[in-house]
Amino acid sequence: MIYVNALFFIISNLLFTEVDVASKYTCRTAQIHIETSSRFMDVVADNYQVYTEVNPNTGKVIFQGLMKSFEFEMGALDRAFNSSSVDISQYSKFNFDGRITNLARIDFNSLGTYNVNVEGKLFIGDYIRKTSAQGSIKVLADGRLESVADFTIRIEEESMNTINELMRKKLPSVVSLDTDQLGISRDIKINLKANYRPRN
Amino acid sequence: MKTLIKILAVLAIVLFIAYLIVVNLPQANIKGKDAVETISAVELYDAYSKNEKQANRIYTGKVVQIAGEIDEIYSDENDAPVVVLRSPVGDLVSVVTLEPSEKQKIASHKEGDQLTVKALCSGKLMEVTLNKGLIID
Repeated sequence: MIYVNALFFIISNLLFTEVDVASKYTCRTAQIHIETSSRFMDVVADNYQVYTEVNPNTGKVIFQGLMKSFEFEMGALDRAFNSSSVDISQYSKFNFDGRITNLARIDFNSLGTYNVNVEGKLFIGDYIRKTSAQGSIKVLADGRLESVADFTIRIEEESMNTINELMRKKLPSVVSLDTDQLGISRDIKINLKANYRPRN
Repeated sequence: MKTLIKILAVLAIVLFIAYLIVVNLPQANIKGKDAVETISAVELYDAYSKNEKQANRIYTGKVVQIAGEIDEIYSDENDAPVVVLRSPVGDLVSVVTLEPSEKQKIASHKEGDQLTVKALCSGKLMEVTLNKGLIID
């Protein structure tokens, strides 16, 4: 009987434990994992230095990252990207400014895992794009939040034409290549992971 | 004809070896690279806060050696050690992700200790962000 009571006590505690809700949750080292492919190789990169913030009262979500923090799985690509010959000063940062659209369904007071829908705008230099993502938020007993999200960005036809134009300009005229011949995928798979801590 | 086949075969082997070398090159690291500047973590933060464009030109993508007071040490999603440095008045000024090989060295440090690291500067978010860090002192 003692064991049954103890078990009931533990289960009820797990189910009904309330955690203090912070005014915001932040993470300085969230992870963004990106994957895309071409006929010749897959490009995989990670950025482990993304700043993100969630406001549980308004549902506002922000992500901010630095392009130079990306680490490419392929060593040669990583070395080239990290060399001073690659100038990305015009696109040094990316920002996502969005909002949780199903905030009413998330109880930041109670332990559990909640599905999250986020909509917002992604800014890379002067490039702005409306983006939405589905993910989950897990409310932990120590007040932290664990969050994951997956989404895919499709590069528009216009941007592929810009890449083709750039290749025509930069490559010798005898090399006639375009993104179709190289089999460059228009889809970029993105996976986000963050471990938020409460801040008041 | 046989000579041509031999030349082509040697060329194919050379190209294949070159491909293997390129594919298996290790990721960028800063071992053996000299810092372009030795500066305090607060001075680096101030440089970015005053003129981010100029600071990007000077420091972003380059190896810098910085010193500051440890505010916090934790591990990121890749299990690499991360050190947050603060100013003497407690403002957070730098977030440095260290190479995983520095895990043992950083374990002997604690909050409030002075730390000198050499790292690749990525730019500024809330604080100046540095990557692939190696502990100097």
